[in-house]
Amino acid sequence: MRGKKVLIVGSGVAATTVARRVLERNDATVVDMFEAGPDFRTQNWRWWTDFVTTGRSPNGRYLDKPSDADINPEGGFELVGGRMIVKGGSTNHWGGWAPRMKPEDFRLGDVRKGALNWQISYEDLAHYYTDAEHLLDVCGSSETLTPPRYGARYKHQPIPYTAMDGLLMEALSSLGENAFEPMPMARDATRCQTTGTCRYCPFGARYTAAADVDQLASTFGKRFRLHLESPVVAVRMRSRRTAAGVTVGDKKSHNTVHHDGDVTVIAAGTIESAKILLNSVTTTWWPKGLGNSTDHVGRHIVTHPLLRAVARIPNNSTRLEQEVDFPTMASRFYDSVDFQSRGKMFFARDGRYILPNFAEKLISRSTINEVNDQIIRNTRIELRGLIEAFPDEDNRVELIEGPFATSGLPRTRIRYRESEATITARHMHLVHLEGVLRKAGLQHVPQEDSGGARADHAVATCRMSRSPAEGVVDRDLRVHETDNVFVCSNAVMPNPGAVNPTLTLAALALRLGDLLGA
Amino acid sequence: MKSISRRYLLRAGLASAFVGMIPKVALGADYSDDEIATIGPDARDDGPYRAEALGLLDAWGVSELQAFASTAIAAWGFRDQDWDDRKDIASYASARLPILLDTKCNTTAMKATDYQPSYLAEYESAARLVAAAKVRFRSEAGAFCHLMFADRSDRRLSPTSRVVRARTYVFDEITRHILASGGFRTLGFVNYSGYFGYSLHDPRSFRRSSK
Repeated sequence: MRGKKVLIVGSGVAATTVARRVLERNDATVVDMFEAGPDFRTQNWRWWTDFVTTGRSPNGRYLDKPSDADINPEGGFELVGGRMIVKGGSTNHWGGWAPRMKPEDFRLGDVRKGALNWQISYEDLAHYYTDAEHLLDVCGSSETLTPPRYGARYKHQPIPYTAMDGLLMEALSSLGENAFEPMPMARDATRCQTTGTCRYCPFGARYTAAADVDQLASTFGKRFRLHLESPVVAVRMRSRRTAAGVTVGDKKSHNTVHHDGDVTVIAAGTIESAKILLNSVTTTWWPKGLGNSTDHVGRHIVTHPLLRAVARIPNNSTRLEQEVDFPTMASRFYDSVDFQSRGKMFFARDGRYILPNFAEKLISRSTINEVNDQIIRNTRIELRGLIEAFPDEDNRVELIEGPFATSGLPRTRIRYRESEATITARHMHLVHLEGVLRKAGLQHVPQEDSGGARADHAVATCRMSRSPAEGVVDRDLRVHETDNVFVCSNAVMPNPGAVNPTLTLAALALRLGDLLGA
Repeated sequence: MKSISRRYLLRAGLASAFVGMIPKVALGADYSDDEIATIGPDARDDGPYRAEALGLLDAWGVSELQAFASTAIAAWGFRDQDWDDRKDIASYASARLPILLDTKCNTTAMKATDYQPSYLAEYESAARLVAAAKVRFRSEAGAFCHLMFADRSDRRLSPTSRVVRARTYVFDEITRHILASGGFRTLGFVNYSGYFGYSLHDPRSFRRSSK
């Protein structure tokens, strides 16, 4: 492909990774990137200082508002808090969990009714996984056995376990071989100063696509153009097979602007990518939306139910604490072929908070004795699990007609429910997590709500399939029956596996970048 | 207006030597008219007053707030730890605090109102309250005790009153900042949100675990 103009919708990890790869591979290509949200400053000292002195994260203002979507409440689907609509997208507050999916995750259709096999295998993606681990600065153990690494090394050593992890090692070891391992974690070990403010790092030690976008601009100059506050609302077709470009809504004038391009890549996340296709209606060619002749766009949305099991350390006189702001120990014991038909689970000892609210206790004049007593008697330890939910063809993302959301994007309707099989898996694995805590001699603390379904892990609204009869994109992520429209987001994954999807998405983006840059 | 007892201050964790220095008059004192007065006619309760006013806090204001921070450190007994060579607390008032004040006043990177509201007017007002309280109670300890611990639920205090704003934007934030700058170590912990620990693989790591 020589001298083409590539339009990329979105500015998150998928968008920036495709852009970088295409620009590197083909020096005659130019990229125009469209982000619905505003600019985002990384490593801004003032923002970080406000985070520390007020406790309010700078990311909060870019989250969805409850009024932006209509979601059936009983489904437990949590949109608010999951995504960020801003330059760099959700990686700006990403936790950094970066495990690979396992080979069997690409063949879920073999064992579960209603699931599809991917059109690519783990082996197809293996070397892209390695590249993605380097791109995202992942620390991890190169010695782990599953999934196979084929000799590939992480760029950084694994982050050492914390002393709190040590409380669980014996209990986990009793499950069987290789029941725990260092969490593969995106952290630049040369920059991290363990500030405990990982959601907004003052040193840029965690990958953010916002910083990557800035690098693209400085590296590629005029070959890369970023359009902020430019919500793409539709793909504009020249013929049934060929897109002419994209239509961008102007948030101020409420008019629309057309941008032409040779290739369009929709990298706007699972929800917005589907909505853009649904909104790309042409009476003659695509009356139900682009790529939606068989009603698969927006359907099958599935995500990870989040499990939480909490325990209290009986006597924390040694003052064990969460030493860093991220998990250091993970387990793939239940994320295995044996559990695939029943619902796999990946879990980690959560490490998000370091001594929360101590300052607030002093300010509110709790006594030091009260604080000490709480530390000794009430220090908590938490396991968090992600379950591969069972698919449901009635789970859907749809557009809401009428006024747009504050982001300039159409409002969203989501219909979501957990299947009975998912609920059974949830109960099964909650027992597993609580069993680990009990076996470690910790006092279980029952939770009223073990956690909802995470929007930021949602997949499958434009799932990869052999033909349009089953899905939306082909193995190259091209929308079926089109020549030049691609989707590169979690939306293309037919199923989520049991792990955070970001690394897999980055690997898919590198693969697409190679294709488009060839 | 509820008065404060020395026993209460001791239970709240203040160092006994410090509590002994607080003059009796500071324990039961009512709010002054200036403390209850609104910070300005167009003050709002959802952000700092005159958030668009950029500029550096003058030397007098800095020194008043440095005195407040030093008194807070003495009051709670925050100190650097023998097992480490760091001097985070010893140098807090002279090194870290001025950076905090500068950062929140001189927000030149973006417009002041664009999520970077300037605290200049709040700092100037708080410094004025500190100076007045020191005169009124004839000591820094008395001023600190009154400004931090006098009844926060007093019905005469509106969200725009000077003392409420000084607590919200200045005194409480400085307290959090001191804790995050190393004060937490006094309670025996090794890391805290906002603290610059060491790098992930540094042999001097803050970690308790050697595994």
